[in-house]
Amino acid sequence: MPTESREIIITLIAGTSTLLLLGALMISFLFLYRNRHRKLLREREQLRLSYERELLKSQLEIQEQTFKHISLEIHDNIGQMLSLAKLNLSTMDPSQPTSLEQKISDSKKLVGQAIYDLRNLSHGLSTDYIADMGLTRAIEHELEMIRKSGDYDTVLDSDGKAYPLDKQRELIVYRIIQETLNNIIKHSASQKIIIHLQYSPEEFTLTITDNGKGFDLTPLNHDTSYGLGIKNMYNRAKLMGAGFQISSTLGEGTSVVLSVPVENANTRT
Amino acid sequence: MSHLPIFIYFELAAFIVSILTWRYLKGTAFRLFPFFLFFIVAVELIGNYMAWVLHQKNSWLFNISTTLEFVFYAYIFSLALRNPAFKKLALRFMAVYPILVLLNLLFIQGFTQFHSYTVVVGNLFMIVLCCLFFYELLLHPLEGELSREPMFWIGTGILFFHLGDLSFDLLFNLLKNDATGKDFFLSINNNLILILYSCFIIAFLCQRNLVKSLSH
Repeated sequence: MPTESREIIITLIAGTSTLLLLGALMISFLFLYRNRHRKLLREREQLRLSYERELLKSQLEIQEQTFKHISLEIHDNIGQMLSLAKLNLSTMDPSQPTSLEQKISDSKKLVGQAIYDLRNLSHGLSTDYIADMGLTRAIEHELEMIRKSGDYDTVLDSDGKAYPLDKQRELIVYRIIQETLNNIIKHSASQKIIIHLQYSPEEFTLTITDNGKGFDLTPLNHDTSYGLGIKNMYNRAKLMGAGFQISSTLGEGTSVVLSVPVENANTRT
Repeated sequence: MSHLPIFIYFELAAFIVSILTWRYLKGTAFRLFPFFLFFIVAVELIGNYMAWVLHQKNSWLFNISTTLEFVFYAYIFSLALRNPAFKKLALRFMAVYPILVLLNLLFIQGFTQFHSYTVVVGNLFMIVLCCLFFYELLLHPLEGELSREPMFWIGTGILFFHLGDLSFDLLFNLLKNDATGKDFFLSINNNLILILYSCFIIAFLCQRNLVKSLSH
């Protein structure tokens, strides 16, 4: 084979191989990219599904909490008032006009109060009441119910110009508040609950503080059953892209901080 | 004619598969493939007959067929590409390329010669169109798997064939008088044709599966 011919063949082989290799690289890159993209889409879809699942769970838990509250309210409060009114009515004596007038007046007051309480309760029966009231009003309502028990002093304050979170996030934030308040009532032995709302352009921050006995946070990282409720709250916060922190000092109290980034927070859907 | 090269059987196979899957191709961008493949098979058979039986030059025949091939592939890409600018590029190529070939044959290489200069231009354009198509696949990934996408296989076949052919087309004038080099190239080229038509066959089968899965 002449040298010139050999050189041409070598050039041909080199050129063709290089170009074909380039083509193969291009196709491989396309495949890799597509696989990654599909994986990313799958992960995003899973995240969306678990977010929806958590949302539904939160709704059900809020409903359950509401029903529990209504049942207690009817039994302990409205039921008592109506029983008292009934007792007044059954012990009325027309021969004693002064006592009769007093009993009628008391009964009217009791029935009026029962009607007022029933009306309040009916607001809580609507599944969209958080969306209708707004987060701040819903928190006020929650604190009012706790305050009514007479065991707690509650404070709600806020900083910055309030803006709405989107409906679904408000629901999750509200559920986290309910869960935290439940924990305070069950375990903290505190007298004071403070909820602070901070509306800044970057993020919405919610801080719930109590002055109770506090607790050791160490088992939370090891024992899964111990902090199931807290882990639930943490997961829910994570799903909406929010930060969730608990700090506690024995004998001084506990503080829960939830920070929702504003790009995730300020669009109402 | 007794020694038909193996790639002609692949071209014939692609034509037969395109006929068998015609009902799945007819409403799509691939509807002209059976006609195109019939033309290719006919050209190859006539070209072989001319060369081996009649011992005549067949360059004029392949000048026509390769020009039509490039125009046809550009047409397929003009339908597959999404970006209007890319589509326009493919359509403009379809209009300008035959004129370029004609000018080349009239004033540069002559009608009796193979139009290697314009084939290089055509090859480069096919590679560009393939790259644009794959670029769009990156930008707008499809829902399904890439390996089940008919146009992906068409694009892959065209890309590999023209990438592989480019070196030879660039060295065509040097190889013209070099029998060893020419034979060597032909062996590469024949294998590339196998890849090209195998990809077409896969594309037609993918199209059939795609239509079937959509209709269920």
